[in-house]
Amino acid sequence: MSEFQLALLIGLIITALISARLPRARLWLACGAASFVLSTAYARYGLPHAPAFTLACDAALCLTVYFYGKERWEISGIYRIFQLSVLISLFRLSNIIVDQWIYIVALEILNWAALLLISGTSILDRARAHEVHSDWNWSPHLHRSNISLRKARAQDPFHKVRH
Amino acid sequence: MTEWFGAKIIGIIAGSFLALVFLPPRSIPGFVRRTLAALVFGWVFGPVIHDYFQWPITDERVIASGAISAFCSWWLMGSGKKVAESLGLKDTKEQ
Repeated sequence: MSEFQLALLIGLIITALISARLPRARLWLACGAASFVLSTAYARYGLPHAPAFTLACDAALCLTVYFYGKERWEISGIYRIFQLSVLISLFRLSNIIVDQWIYIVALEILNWAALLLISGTSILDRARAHEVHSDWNWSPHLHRSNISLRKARAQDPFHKVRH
Repeated sequence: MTEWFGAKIIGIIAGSFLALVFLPPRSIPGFVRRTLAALVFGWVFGPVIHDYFQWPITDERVIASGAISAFCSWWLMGSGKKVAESLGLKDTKEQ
């Protein structure tokens, strides 16, 4: 395990601890970790078309979030991040990203962005819960869009719309 | 190009799958319409795209051309629907 993967693992554990009360946060963390481990192992064994495999893993994760996500932080955050991940793998496949290191660094940045989004949403949620039970008003210090991350998603997934 | 049947089908499925990730439809009928359109467009226009880029005939290139044509058809179906809605030709947003 490289130092980057170790740092990511520590980040994952910290995020899982922070987001204990955030619904489905641990599910997406587990799914993201599974996708990361599978695609890394596939590439490490030197199997062919590794970016295509990474793309398929991230696309499957993307669709899982789309179908089972219920709140805005999932659809406007996690779903978009994994869409970007799919796009980067697509660029690597079509040789728009030529350098392997740029590809790996871009995916790493997106993994960290997903962790920060989940932990940030969880911290904001706790701040809001604290506001309810105390006199101190947090809301003026937080941007409205950050507070609305816990609202229901704007549009249902297509399999729930029958007309 | 009947000998490339498998590669074409894989390309069309891959293109539709990618399009579903990036441009999800609004309803089940929309999904069915777009999938059927992607199958037809991918089959018909895959070789056209292949010839346009003057790619060598390999598995990867046939898959890529099928995927591009399927993705484009999926996107065009969604865009056409939006244009029709904005022109007032359709008042329901079912796709």
